[in-house]
Amino acid sequence: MAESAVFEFVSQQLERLSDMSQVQARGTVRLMLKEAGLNTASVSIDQMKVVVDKLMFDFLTKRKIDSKKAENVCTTIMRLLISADIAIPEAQSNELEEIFKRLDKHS
Amino acid sequence: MEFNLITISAFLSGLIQFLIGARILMLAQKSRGATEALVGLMLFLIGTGRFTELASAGFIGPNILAADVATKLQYGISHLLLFVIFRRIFRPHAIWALGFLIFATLILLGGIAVQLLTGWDFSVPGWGTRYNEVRLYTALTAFVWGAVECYLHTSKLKRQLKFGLTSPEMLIRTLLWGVSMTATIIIVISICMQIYFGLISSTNVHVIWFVMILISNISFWFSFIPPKFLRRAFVKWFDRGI
Repeated sequence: MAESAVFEFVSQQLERLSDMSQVQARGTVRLMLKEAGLNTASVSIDQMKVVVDKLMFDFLTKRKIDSKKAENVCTTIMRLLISADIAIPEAQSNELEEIFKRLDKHS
Repeated sequence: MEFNLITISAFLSGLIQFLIGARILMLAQKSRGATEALVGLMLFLIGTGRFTELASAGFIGPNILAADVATKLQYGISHLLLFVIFRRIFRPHAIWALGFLIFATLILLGGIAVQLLTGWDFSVPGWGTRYNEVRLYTALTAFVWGAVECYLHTSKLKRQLKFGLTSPEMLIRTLLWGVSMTATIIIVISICMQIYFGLISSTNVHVIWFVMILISNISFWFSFIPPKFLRRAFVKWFDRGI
């Protein structure tokens, strides 16, 4: 199953900004998404912003990354995520939730 | 001709499923969503299947073979649609889900081929009853898959809710679909236990069916097209920790 573009993007940025290896960075993002009940294949940019905002700092400090550096990593990744220059295609959203919403809208 | 609990259950179930299926189909026409159209069609076929089943058993109209054939086809197609729906909603990229879908298609086509070769009388021992058995187990597989996916999805939504990534209403509605399928699983298992293993008396099975049909249909209704007051109540119940 292919990972979403936003998962790949955040994993690459985490690897670049921290001292983590590629495997560690991807594993950390994967665990953060699991904690938030999200899939690596379907996570959207908006969902990833919430994960970075609410979970990433704790995950990085637990992995022995200095709190100041962890804060910098989180801020940079968040800034990159909201940057208009980065074009990440929107992942497929939750189909069941979409069905419920569409039915509600027309009922 | 005897009108008992099972006849009432089948009639009630058919009526509710027909109405909910038709309503979802009407809404799907407006929303242009293919998945909800499939959900509506699946339920519509099961609902109309209950009526042709009653006709084939002689409860409404004469006991005709055509009604029996129509019932089996309606149920067969609706069970196949279940696999299509679950794949589209829960596992759009999984190869094994595609395998499930191919398996269900082969079961349906194989059954039709066997019936064409041996005649359409499903009550004749041999291939006819074998096909009924296989069809029931295929339906059971579909409902178990769907129920497990619903509960897994509910668990994910529960975690998403902590971070404000979903709403309590979506969580409860997903859970209700799982409850609806669990009730259907109990119905199918009780049918298998009574018909194929003789482990339950028919009276007990009829009571189980009556209760489970109500639970299954009401849960499905509240999950897909809940009344507005209920949608507000979902959030209130959740806030109170129910």
